[in-house]
Amino acid sequence: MQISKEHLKVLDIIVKISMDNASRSFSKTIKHAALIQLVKTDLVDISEITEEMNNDFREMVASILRLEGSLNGKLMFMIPLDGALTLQDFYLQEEPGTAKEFDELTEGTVQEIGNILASAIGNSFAAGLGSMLLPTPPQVLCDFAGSIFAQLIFEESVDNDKILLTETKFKLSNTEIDCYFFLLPDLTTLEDSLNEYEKATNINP
Amino acid sequence: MLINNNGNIVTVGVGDLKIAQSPKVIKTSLGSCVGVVLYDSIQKVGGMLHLMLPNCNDRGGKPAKYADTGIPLLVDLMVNKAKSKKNALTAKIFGGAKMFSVSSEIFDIGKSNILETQKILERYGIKIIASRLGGTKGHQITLDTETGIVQSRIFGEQSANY
Repeated sequence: MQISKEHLKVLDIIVKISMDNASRSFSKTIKHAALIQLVKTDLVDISEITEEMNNDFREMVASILRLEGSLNGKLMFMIPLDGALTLQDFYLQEEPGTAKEFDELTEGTVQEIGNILASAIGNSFAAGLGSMLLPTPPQVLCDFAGSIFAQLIFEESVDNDKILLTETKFKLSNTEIDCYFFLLPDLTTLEDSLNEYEKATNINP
Repeated sequence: MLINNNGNIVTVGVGDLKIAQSPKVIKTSLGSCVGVVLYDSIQKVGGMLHLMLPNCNDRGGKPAKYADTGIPLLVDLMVNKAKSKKNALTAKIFGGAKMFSVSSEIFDIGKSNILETQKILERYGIKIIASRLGGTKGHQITLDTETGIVQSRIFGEQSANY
């Protein structure tokens, strides 16, 4: 897998802008501040990153979407099960503690947040790189953090021992709830998009 | 992510394998991947492989990603590094879930992983003494190298010892 350091820097900047936009959309949707605590873009070893995930014993719910267009990739929004119930209350503007059990409403909320974040990312990439990205309908998984993450990276790991991953961690203000957002861009279409971006801007990244 | 910093816990990632001796525990989380646990009760040494595909097919990369290259490597580590006798080794296998609802058998990679794992262990003459396989949910497995017991937890179910 090849990506230059310069391209990685450009991607990092676009991802940070995207996550700012995504954070604003997220906060507006749930009428509650979602604060970005970490944005990291790196080529990571599949065994090391999954080892880190397998140290997380929590049960999670995740919404996974594909991005299709001139830039392909995968996105995942993941939140602990108990956090998803709080998120549901925020989203439906109910009193905190109203949602007691994971049900279709919780699943719908996580799906919707995944859609909103994916749209914000798609729009930011379109504005930044001129790449068209369309999210596919989300698929919701409810499982252990490590098992969900392993499924997210499965296809990319078949032919590669390292994957390009951007990880964002949000904290919902005045709560102890962390939620995570992962983006796995497809390397081939990403390189094409970054090369087009270089040509269009006529600058070296 | 929450990191368990207990020095006695060894965590295995995807496409990786590790061995450890009592009193350590070895753990991993599985989806469609298969976890192969080898144990030597005489030396109280255990090994865990987290494989994701049945066959290497000249793909290259980490040998522990594949059943046909990962299992020989795990056996080699147990025999040549941990100095276990091959006939003292027993196996337990876990995972191989069908995480996404895809109807085609071709895409049931979990099932292919299970079948290839069973075939290779049989070829090595290593007996599978316990297993918890398939389903549609992830597994968390933890091997206690002191006892050889594997605690298996499937999402939404009670944990059980194997």
